[in-house]
Amino acid sequence: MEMPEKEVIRRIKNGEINYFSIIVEEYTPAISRYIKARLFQKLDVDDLVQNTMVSFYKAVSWFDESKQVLPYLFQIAKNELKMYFRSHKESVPLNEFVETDSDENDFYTEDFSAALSTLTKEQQTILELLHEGYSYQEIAKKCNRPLNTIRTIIRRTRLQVKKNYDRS
Amino acid sequence: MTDLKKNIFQKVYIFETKRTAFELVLRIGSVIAALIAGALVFMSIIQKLLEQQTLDVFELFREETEIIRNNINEVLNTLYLEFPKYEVVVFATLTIISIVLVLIFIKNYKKIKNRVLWLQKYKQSH
Repeated sequence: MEMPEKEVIRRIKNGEINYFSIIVEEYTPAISRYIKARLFQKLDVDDLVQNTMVSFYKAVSWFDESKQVLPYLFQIAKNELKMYFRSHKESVPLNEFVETDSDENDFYTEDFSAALSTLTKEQQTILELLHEGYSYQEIAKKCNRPLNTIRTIIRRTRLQVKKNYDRS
Repeated sequence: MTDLKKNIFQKVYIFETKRTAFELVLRIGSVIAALIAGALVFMSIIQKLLEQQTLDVFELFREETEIIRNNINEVLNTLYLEFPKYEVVVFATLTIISIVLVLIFIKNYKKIKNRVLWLQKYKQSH
């Protein structure tokens, strides 16, 4: 970027929307890569990238020029991904079996669900929130627990589930 | 421009058209509304003064300077007593609001003008 980022943002705030193309040119590849790495459906990558850039444009009036643009764009992309996963959620409650045709898969599901059912309510809740796309910090806030505690619980829960599943 | 960037700017165009139109209508509308309201209140003040014949006190200024000087306090006191105070406060408030709205509009004029020019240019080129 030839012009300092601060100056570009200032001009966009001043209504010179053509300068937004500098931001788009500069940061779209990075945001595209970030989203592509986290999405199974590659067809939706462009939509999410568009939503991210447009959301940034809408918020540019309040954007602090002294801060960097890219971390803010990553945060928006993260939120877009979260909303995307929530709207495309195909989750099954932890205490239900996944129905399939194959007996082998039934056995797998039964054992996995059995492994999950040995967890405490708190562990199940935390795993569900993690599966829904919440970050560790958001889970800590929701469960009213310190961040490090949540990390420890998740690590121990994963080990416990693996241990129980291997045993069965 | 790639398709992705074209789509981004298309969405920005749609958003900006709505926002700029809304802002223009709001700003100009509020200035006009404040000015009209101020004018109406001013007219009602004048009407009230005419009904009360308060403005007759200004006939004093047709007299000689000596007489004006001797009676000016009485005239001012009469004016103060007979002036519709509530309407005057409302008129003063509306005048201040109108001035503030106009100043805000002037301050943001360049920003809105840049946006409108970009929207025009974008529409012509796409």
